[in-house]
Amino acid sequence: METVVSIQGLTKVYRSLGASRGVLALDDLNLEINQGEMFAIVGPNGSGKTTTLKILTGLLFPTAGTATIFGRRVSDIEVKRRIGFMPEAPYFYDHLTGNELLHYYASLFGIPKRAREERIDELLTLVGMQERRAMPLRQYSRGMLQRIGLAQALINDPELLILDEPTSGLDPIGAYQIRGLISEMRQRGKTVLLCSHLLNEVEAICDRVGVLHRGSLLAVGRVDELLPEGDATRIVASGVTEAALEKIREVVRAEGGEVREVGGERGTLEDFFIEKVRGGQQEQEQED
Amino acid sequence: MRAIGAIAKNTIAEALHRIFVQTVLAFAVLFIVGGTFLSYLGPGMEEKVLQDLGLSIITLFSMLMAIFIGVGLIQPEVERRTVYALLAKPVRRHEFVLGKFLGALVVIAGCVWLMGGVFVLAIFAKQHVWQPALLSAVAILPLAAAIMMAVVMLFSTFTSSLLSVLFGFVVWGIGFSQSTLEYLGESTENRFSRTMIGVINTVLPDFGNFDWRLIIVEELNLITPDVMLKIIGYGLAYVAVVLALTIVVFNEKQF
Repeated sequence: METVVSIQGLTKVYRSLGASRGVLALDDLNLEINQGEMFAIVGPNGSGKTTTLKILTGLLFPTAGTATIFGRRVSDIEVKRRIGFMPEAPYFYDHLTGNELLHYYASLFGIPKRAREERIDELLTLVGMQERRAMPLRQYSRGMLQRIGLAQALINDPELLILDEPTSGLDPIGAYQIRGLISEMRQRGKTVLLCSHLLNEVEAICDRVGVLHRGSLLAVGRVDELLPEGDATRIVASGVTEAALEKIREVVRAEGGEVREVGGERGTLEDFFIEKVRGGQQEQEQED
Repeated sequence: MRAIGAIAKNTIAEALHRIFVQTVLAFAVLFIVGGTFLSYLGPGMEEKVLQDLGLSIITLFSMLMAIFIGVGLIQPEVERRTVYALLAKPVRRHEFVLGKFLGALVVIAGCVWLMGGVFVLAIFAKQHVWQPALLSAVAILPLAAAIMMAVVMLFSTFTSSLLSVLFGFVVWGIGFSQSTLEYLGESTENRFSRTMIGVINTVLPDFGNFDWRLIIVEELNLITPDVMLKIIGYGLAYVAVVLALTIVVFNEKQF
């Protein structure tokens, strides 16, 4: 499998004028991300997640170590033609509409006008912003900016998508939709590198995870490898009566085990919220 | 080149949307037309005073535009973080600097020439005489504005917007007083002061080169093709050096 991102001994120290010592943001980070993988860097605020992504996109320079993408230096203009980046809480030009912004970014890639129109049409539909394409960006909500941010990151149909906190500040519906879009990118064969501090989100969509803390990589691996199985066994069944439960307990005891917990399984609050809001929207559309 | 063109185009659109540019332009036109029609001076005096007044207004507003547009080219992109998405695209940092500068220059040159056109038309409406010499004095002003803008842009890559504007005004003040400073330097006996004045005069731009008011008003035949080429050469060289410095600083900048 081809290595898309390779990070070797990456170290970053932020120095400010007059300060005798700098702040260590990344400490000897080593990481490889393969083609087609959806990789997440997780960690608390200040752990070095954004610093890593900024080095990969050429916004910051490392103090030591190297980072390559597609086997080339990250500053190489050819690398930038093949990546898409969505910064955290993206902000764009107030004077442009969503449509104009995408045209501007597409022109930087030299995409011909006709292909550009088609691509922008496709992306606006993908991120659900087709109806707001002519609206000035200064009137966009946080969620709309996030969607147009994802669209601009996809303008060149990148092989590697780098996303910094893609769902931060979004309401549950917005976060759910953006997660859906990211998952779709993987299905389209893209390599995705994202950073987040929302662990449930990462667990739901990523193949591999790297845990970063104070600039050091504490663990890296597949989600199911990192989470210990423990010695408990979970059985999910429906239509179980009280009598049947008693029989199960007896069997478990007879085999030297212990039933620790019995209870009904419930969905997540997010699933409930999305179902309710969608139901409300559909009712309103029918009334309209 | 493609990136420079796209960034320049976006900079033009952004500048034209700014209330500041629209207001300055409206005020300048108002002052030029108002000044031309509302002044009552004696015969003979009127023509000279009106020419001087019009050129002064255009110079003043072109330099104000250069300072305030120049300071808004790089710093806001960094503060609003729009530069993050932009520099992750296939855009080299020097292309970003040049695109921003050239876009802003197109706006300023357009505004200056528009003010100049209005001025010449106003003079014609009032005095019924064509003054084509005035156009040459106006035509050279965007070069002075380009120097001013490049200097402010350089400052804004390493300091705050407020300080960049302040530095801009200081450079403007000194740049238009170089002949006075030169006189002071020659007349002082203090060696240190003389050296300092010499250094300042060499490093800072000499905007006196682009101030043709007296020459035009007094109809002095001093702007020969040779002189004009020297002035254009000086302006272009100064802009090139300052832009090169800006690119060097911006290449090292981290976001």
